Amino acid sequence: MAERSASVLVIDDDPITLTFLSNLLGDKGYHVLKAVDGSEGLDLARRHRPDLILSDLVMPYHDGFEILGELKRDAILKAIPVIMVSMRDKEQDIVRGFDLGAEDYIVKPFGAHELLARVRRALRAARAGEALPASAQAELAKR
Amino acid sequence: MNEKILLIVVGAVGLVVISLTFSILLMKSWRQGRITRQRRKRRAIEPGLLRYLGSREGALERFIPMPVEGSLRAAVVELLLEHTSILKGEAMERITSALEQLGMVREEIGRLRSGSAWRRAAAAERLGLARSPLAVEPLAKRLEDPDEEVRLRAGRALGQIRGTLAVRPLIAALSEPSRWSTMRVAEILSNMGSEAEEELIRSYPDLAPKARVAALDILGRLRRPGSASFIEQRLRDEDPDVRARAAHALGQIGDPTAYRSLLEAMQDPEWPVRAMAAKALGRLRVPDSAPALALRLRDRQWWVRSNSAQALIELGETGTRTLLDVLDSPDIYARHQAVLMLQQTGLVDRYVDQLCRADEEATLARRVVSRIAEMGRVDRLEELSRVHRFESVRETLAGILRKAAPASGARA
Repeated sequence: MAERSASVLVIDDDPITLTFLSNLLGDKGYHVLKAVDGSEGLDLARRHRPDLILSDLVMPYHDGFEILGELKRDAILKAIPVIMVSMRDKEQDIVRGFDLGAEDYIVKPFGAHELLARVRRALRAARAGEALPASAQAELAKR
Repeated sequence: MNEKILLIVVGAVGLVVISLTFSILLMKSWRQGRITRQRRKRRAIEPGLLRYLGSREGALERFIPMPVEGSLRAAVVELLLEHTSILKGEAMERITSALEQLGMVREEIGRLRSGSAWRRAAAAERLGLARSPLAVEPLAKRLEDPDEEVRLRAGRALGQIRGTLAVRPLIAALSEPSRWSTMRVAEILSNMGSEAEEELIRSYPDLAPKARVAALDILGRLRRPGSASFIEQRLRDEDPDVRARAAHALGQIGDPTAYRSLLEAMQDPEWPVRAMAAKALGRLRVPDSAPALALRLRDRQWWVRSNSAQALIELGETGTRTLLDVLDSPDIYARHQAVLMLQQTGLVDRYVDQLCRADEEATLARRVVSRIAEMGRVDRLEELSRVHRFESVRETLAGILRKAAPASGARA
């Protein structure tokens, strides 16, 4: 599968989640980058431009919403799909995540296979967007 | 002689201090060494174990060298338990299966019989994390534990395991308020979703009267529309507590199709039922319920009047219009309740703001404010006539109050 060569940045201050997600994605053939807080996550995103970012919400220094905001303000990084992975299941948090430009929102506890399926879908969608001719992308951006 | 004794004492104390320091250092390094060995073992076993959790097939021995014993087994169990907070679905089922295979579930079930309440409570908690159906029966027995903490953790553990078998003992606990805080059981059951709903409805006829009230409360908290018709039937129960709780639960579920049953409940001979039905109608927000709510503003009981007025506000424009009409009602209770609600929700202030506008809003505002002044409910109006930010409004309001003064004495 094409997605399997993709790079995924996982940002989470919880070592259990970070290790689990890194191993899960690594075993499926993804190239995994790890960050334990928002600052490191942003730094890695800028340096490596991963194909996808999985980010926790509640973290020290920069929370998940701040990271999302920063990424979507950056002309180069805004195209990277971001999936929020959080214990917070309140509707207002989920809506805020989507409003800020998150591709998806996964609530912990999560199903490992469901998470993988969402990762595959986000990567497919991103690649389909990239595959569009420049004129079509500009048209979509206008909308 | 004295110097010799002193030297011996100092020497002995020094020796004790040195040996104590030495043994503390030894203990510390032994403990550090144990932690380091544990971490090493954990690091060695972790990738295989995480692969096991992320896979769909294959028993534990395919991923880690079996059998695991001693401190390695403890490390594997801890690792698996740590992941229960972030995983669900197939991965969680694999955690349960591994913990059963490693003998952790059997061991903790054994600890439930420990003489120490602390150990029993800790075992109940770990069994809850393991989510093993094998633990349901032993945990259900611990609901009768003499120690309250053990009972509570056993209840929570059953709530985590879920499944019909885990729900039943919790529902049975509702009938034993002496041993259980009904609120705590209700909290556990409320987090169990459809399994709790189905079992509560199935076992309802066998429950004690107080447990039935609690069951209806939980069904309300579960907010599942599928239970609405069952709860509607309880509005005809002979126990008024059941009828009142059923009305409340229907409001929590918020299924608008229940509004006709609630309108009937507004005629109930018992005021708590009428009060709860009024509150529920407010939550359902069906505009057609406005006339019935307006009628209840004349109820003899304050709670019914208050809830009906509040419900009318929640109906939105229709309800507000109805409350304004009630200002002309011959019933003094109804009129006063309507004014109270208009004041509490800030609508009186809004009408006062509109007094000097040059449109239809001003005509309505003047009519409403005059009517309230005539009724003698002038506290807020008098305050606004002194403090309103616009002089024109203050003067108009003062005029209305002066004109209404003789009438208010006679009519309110």
